Amino acid sequence: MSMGQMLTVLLAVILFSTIVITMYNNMFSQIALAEDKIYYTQAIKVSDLVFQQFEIEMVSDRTSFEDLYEKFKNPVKTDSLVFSNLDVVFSYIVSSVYSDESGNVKNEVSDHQKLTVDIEGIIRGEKKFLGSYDKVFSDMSIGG
Amino acid sequence: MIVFLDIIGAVIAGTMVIITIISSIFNVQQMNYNIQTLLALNTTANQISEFLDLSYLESVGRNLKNTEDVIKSVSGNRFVYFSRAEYSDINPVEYTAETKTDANGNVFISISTKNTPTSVSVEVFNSSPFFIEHTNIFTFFDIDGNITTNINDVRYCQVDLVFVERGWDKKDNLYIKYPITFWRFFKNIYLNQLNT
Repeated sequence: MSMGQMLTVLLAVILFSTIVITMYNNMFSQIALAEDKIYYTQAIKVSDLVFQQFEIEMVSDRTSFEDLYEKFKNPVKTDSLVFSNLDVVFSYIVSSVYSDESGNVKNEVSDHQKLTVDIEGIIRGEKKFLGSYDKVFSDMSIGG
Repeated sequence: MIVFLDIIGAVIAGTMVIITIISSIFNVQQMNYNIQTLLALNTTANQISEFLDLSYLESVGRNLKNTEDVIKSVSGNRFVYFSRAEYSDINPVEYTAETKTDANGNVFISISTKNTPTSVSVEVFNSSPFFIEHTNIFTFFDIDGNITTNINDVRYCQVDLVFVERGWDKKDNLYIKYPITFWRFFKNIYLNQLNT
């Protein structure tokens, strides 16, 4: 086998290896994408938990609408929400602003406030942002 | 002789390439199948958990009077509660949400509804091939967020579901899992308390 032929074979091997490695790399990316759906779905459930807690505080008259605003006007961070079934640690930041009924921010006291939950998780050792969820709450106490 | 060695080398190299290609095709098919299974499980898990949450757990204590019992019993695998249809004065309906095990040892969710001692209907989420991993799916909390099993203290529950479906690998023992956890505050209990 001449030197030229050997170089051609070597080039073919390198080209073929590159194709195979790229193909596997793409497949692993697809798996990671599919698995990420688990974490995004769970993040939605976590935001729902926060919204339910907020609503219950109001309807049960444990905390007033204004007190809830005071509690969350400066973002409150909750660390280390761990699920036994998921190998991920979630943390979230809850913040509130006065808004109109559509969620547009108002710089004055209002009968509506927009609660925002920013969620992130440590997935496969990397910190990942899992979404920001908003919900507008109205003052349901008698007399507004 | 040199030609002979060239042929042997070409055969070895060619065989390796073909084996790599065939192996890659197998792996692509396997991964594709498992990803499809995971995505299908995602849809199933979301539909079932939302149905369980919004069609059943959200109605705990609905339209009951302050003097009527809301929760009959709680445990990790069984939750019995009462609810009444909107604008209705008939007897409260007793709901039993629980996990059961079928003949193959697979866990599934069952919800039975009892209007009267003779009127019972059962809804079962046992759509093979998926099943639930654990029987203990319910955890109950009191008003301060502490775990409780006292029916008078229960204010909300956490439901941990792990949906499992058989995947595909060379040893045929791969299981694809889709965990989902959700919470349901029993708003009607809070409102009932407010009216006492």
